[in-house]
Parts: sequence; C-alpha cells; structure tokens
Amino acid sequence: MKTAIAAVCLVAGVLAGAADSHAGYVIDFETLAHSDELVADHGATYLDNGYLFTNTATFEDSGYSPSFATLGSQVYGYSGSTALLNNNYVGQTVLARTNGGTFNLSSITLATLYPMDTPDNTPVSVQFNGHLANGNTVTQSFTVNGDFTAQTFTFGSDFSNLVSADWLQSDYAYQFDNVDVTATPVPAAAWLLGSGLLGLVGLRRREKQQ
Amino acid sequence: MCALSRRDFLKYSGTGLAGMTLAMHFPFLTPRRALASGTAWKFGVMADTQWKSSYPNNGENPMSCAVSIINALNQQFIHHDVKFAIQVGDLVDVEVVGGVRSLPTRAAAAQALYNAGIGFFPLRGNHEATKTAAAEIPALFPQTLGEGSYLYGARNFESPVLDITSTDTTGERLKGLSYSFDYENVRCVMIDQFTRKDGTNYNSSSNNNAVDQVPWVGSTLAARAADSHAFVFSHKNLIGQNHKDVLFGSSLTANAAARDTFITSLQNNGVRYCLGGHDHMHHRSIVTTSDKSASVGQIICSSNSYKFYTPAAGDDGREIPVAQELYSIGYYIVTVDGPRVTIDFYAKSHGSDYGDIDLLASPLDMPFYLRESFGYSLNGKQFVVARGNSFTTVQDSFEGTTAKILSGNNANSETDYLNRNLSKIVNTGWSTPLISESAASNVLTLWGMSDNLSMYNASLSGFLPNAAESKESDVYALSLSYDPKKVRPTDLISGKFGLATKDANGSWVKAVDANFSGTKTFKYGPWKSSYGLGTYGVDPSTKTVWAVVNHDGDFVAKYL
Repeated sequence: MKTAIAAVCLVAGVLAGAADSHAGYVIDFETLAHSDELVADHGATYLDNGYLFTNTATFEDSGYSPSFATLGSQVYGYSGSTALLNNNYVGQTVLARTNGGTFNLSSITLATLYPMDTPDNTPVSVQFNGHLANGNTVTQSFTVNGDFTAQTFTFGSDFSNLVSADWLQSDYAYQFDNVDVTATPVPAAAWLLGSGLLGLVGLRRREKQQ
Repeated sequence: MCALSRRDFLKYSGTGLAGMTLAMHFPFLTPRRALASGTAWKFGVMADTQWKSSYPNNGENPMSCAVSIINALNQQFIHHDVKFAIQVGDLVDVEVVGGVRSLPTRAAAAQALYNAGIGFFPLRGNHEATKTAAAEIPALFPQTLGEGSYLYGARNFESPVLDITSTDTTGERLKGLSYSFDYENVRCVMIDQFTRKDGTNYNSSSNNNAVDQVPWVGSTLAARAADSHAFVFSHKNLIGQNHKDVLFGSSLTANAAARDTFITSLQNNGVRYCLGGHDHMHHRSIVTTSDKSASVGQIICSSNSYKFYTPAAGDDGREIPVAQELYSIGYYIVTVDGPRVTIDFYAKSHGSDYGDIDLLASPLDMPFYLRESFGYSLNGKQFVVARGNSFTTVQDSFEGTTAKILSGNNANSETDYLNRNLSKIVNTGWSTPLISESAASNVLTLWGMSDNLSMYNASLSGFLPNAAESKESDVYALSLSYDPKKVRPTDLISGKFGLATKDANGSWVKAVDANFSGTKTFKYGPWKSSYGLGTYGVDPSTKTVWAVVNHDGDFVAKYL
C-alpha cells in the first residue's frame, strides 16, 4: 500500500513537473478580438493560462484608473491581429504567473498604435525588465518602427527563470501581442516530485533492512 | 415667482417701456470667446453726439443733441446688459440754442440708461468747452463726483487736485470734470481738457490742459489693484486722423515731453487702450513716444453724430495703424472677464448712400453689425505683426500650457484711408477650463488674427455696413501643449483628441471645424509645413495638439 502511495506521488510529481514546464505558450489575445470600430476596455488585469498581465498605473501618475485595451479590427490602428495595450500614460505592465512560478520569456510582437506621419516613422524604444528569482534584474530594449506594422522581437537567454517582467507604455504608444512564454518548474511540483522520490527511497531501505 | 433685484427690475422695466415705443435691431451675437469665469461683465463706450441745430430734425434731435442716435445706443447698451456707459465728449453741438442751455437735453437722454440700472459717465468735448459747461457737467451728472442716485456700483471716485491759485483756492477746478472711478476690476480714468471751473487753462491755453494732469493720471493708475484693468478716456486723441489738434495740444508735436511721459506712464501701468472721440470715425492704432520706447493702443470712437470725417494726411511717424472704418455710426462693448478684456465694435449705416455726408434727418432704423473684436489679457502677451511679417513670434505659456504659432504671415493687403499698411496686434490670454469641460490644457484666447477691418472708400455704395465683418484670418498653424495625464493613449489616435475651439453657440468643436474653408485631415505626429488648411493632429512626443486654421478665438486641447 505504502509503495503504491509513493508511486502515485512520484507519478504525480512527474506529471506536475511535466505540465508546469511544458513547451512554450503563446499569449495571442485572440479571445479579446472584436470586429468593430471601438476601443475595448479590459480593466487593470488580463489572465491567460496562468499568466497575469497587470497594469500598475496609478491615477496620480497617469490621470486615469489603470486599463488595458484592445482595438477593434475596424479601428485604423488595428495591427492585423488583436493585441493588448496599456491604456495609461507611461503605464507599467507587469507579467507574472498566478502561482508564483518562474517562466522564460522568449519573444513578443510589438506594433505602434498608429502610423506616425514623420519621415522616419519615428521609432519607439521599449525597455523590458526581467526580474529573476535570485533578485537580479535583466533588461533588454527593442526599437519598434513607427509605421505600426507588427514586429516580433526575441529575448536573450537571460530572460529565463523570471519571477516577473515589466515594461512601460511610451509617449508614442504601442501594443503588444504573441507573448511567447515557457513556465519553469515551480516549488509545488518540485516538492511533489521530491516527496515521491524520498518515499520510494525510504521504502527501498525498509525492504533491504527486512 | 422669482424675485427681481432693484437693478434687474429697473433694467427689465426700462427695456419693456422702450420696446413699446421703439422698433430696435439688435446685432447677432457671436460668442466665440467664452465667458469662462462666469464673472464677466460689460460696459459700453460711445462718442460725439452733436447734432446741427439748424438742420430739420422733426424734434427728434433737439437742442443740437443727437437724441435719436442716443436713444438707439441706449437700447443697444441695455440689450448688451452693460453696467455703465461712457461718452467721450461732444455731448451737444452748441451749448446754447435759442437762449437755452442744451446740456440738460443730453442729460435727460441718459434717463433710459438710469431706468435700466445702467450708469452713465460723460466727458466734455470741445463743443461744451466753456467755464459755464465746466460748472454744469457735475451738476447735471453728479455721478462724476461719486454722488447721486446713478452710480450703480461705480465707486472710488477721485478728481485731480491741482495747485492753489488766486482763482481756485482749493485746487478743485477739475473736480467732476476729470475723474477716475472703479467698477469691479476696472479703473476708468477720464481726462477733461477744456476750460476749467475757474475759467482758467493750464499755461494759458486749453490746448495745454492735459499737461498738468499727467502726474495725477500716473498716480491714479499706479494706485489701483495689481490684477485690475485700466482704461483712459479723453475727447481728443493721441494722434488724430482728421483733426490734428490732439490731447496734448494744437498739433501732433505739441507738449511732446508731457505726451511722452503720459504714454510711458500708461504703458508702465498696464493700460492697453486710450479711447477718444473728436474724429467721428472708427480708427485703431498703436501710438508711441517720440523715441518709440513706449506705446499704447489708441481707439478713436465711431461717430454718433450728424457728421463724419475723412482722415487727413500728416502724422509724425509715431503711429502703427491697425483698423479703420469711416462713415458709420458705432459703439463699443467692453467685456471684462477676469484678466481678459474683449472689445466688440458694432456699427450701422448712417442711412444714406455710403460716404461722407452730413445727416439732415435722424438715421434710418437699421441694424448694428459686429464689425470687429479685439482684446487682451493681463496674463497674456501682445505681439505687433507688421504686414508681411511672420506670426511665429507669437508664443506664450501659462501654468504648464504652451501655445505657439508655427506658421503664417500677416498677408492682409488692406490699408487705411491714407494708404498706410495695417498691422495685426495679436494678443494672448489664458483661463483655466471648467472641470466639466474635461480639457487637457488651459484655455488660450487669441485676439487679433482676423483680417484688419478696413472700410473707407467713399465710392462704395449702399447702406454700409450691411453685414457683420468676416472673422476670417490668414492661414496659420497653432499648437498647444497638453497634459498627457489627461488623455488616454487610445484617445490620441482617434482624431477626436485635438485642438478645439468654441463655436457660435459656445460649444467646443474641433478647431478645424470653425475654418472658413479647407479639408479636415487628421495626422498623428508633428506639424509639417506642407500641411494645408484643415489639417490637424497630435504629436505625443512633444505632447502638443496642433491645427492649421484661419480664425482666432478660444482654443483648448480636448477630446471631442
């Protein structure tokens, strides 16, 4: 019986670990798609598959309550795919897992909000900050063309095992899409797996002593 | 049942009585400029009302006084809800008609204003210039002494005290003739320049009578509240157009030192306008000192009389002409809105074919039209833009909001009668928007962009003016900064957030909607010189909204 319990623990741990660290997941916001000429307000948070986007803007800093928005497909600034944007002046977007787990951030698609009528399509620079479990921070900046065509940017390998990532909305606002994330094992799965292994080791010792 | 104050009762009952007896035409009001503070108030200004006593007048203009025109102006002032009216002299043509003093007739003609709760404050002109008239004016108009029943809120009356002489042991020979008074946040300074109560004149000539009043004018201007306005009134002008006898003497160059001290004093004390009559025409200009180190705006007030004058050549190079309208009957409404002042000039035909005539009968009952508006603000700046020059010098800021004119030239090709080019006097002013207006900037008021009023050609025909003057201006690009905290990023791309202006109903609309032509086109990014009339946009990098327009007025950054 005890052997059976330990085996279940082991299997569960393995399964949990496997599920937690499965292949990358792309957050594409298509569940928010709307084929109209409106700007849809989605409030201060957006949750998808255990990944939570939080707009941390404050009324004092931005003059408005925090809000994410999407553009309807009939809006002139629609990039061709439903994307999320931080709808606050210099509003900060924070990405984290709801279970506190770490994740790898592989790539993201960015597009300016509107075609700028400037000779150089005034580019927009966006800096991403990745916060590691050990307390360190990594940064990477991407420059988006101002012609509001969607561009996909790849993060360096140091954007791994992040507790969270954040980035600011700029003066020339941009929208983000296709956030490619991969969860890494979380403490709960590791504990489950470890406890299963320990159980099996214990059982094996008892069998040897007997 | 609503209660009427004494003032309101007087005003409306007076209006009603007038309405039973007079058919009146009131100008169409175009409130493009907002009365944002809610405390705006108005006063009126009129000029010479003499009438030729020898002309047939059917009793409508008795005792050499243009009572028919006065009555029409009274109704206009009542209609505009002014608090008081000022007349800059020449109340009658001659002081005595048939052995009877005529000034009481002029005094009686002010009764309609009094009945409406409106004050009336006159000056003398050269047609009532005698010692007798000097004694008569304070008696007929005790309000010039701060006395009587017709003050209606005017206060702080003061007259200059001159040196004691053998003929004036108190120094009060100008009491009730030259005087200043306050109403709300305005001080009016009235300068009498004619023979004084004791029969004397300064330095033995009435031509010098402004000279010894310069210190008093300066001190009374300086003594007022710092955040208040001041206007200076006299009968004769700083630089006459037809007349060359002026406030400071019989010629433009007379008493030059005192005149320059006077103009410098006005400038240093924040006076923007010096108003006079005498010339029976509407004329605006900037008048400078001899060395051009100081200047003040001059308004020569339109005729309210049987006669009209034509400008005569000859000035001494101290004048920058701005606007001119000859051969019409007009009046002025001064709107004071906190730090902002807007003056509207209304005029009507004299009832005969356009030109320089002497009216033999009361002018026909014809409508008044808004001919031009101009103004300034205590919290703004003034820019003189000569013909052909760029407007890009116009830049101003107020509590975090910056306004800039990015393009455009004074391309007005009009002149005055003497073929002098007209300059545009561009003024900026600011007010804080109401919270309910949800604006993202302070409100900029821009005066002086409209094409200069210029109507003087006697070969024109018909009853002129016969319409409100167009407010169309040169094409220019205006930018206004906004507070990015007061707008969402998605608002910026919609074309609904941008430069707004007030429409004729006082509602905010896109600034380009008030253009006189052009095609509306939205751009996201900075203004470019290739953009045509009607193009507008928002530039998030500089946090400015901008628009290519051809009108002035009130502007704000706002989502519509």
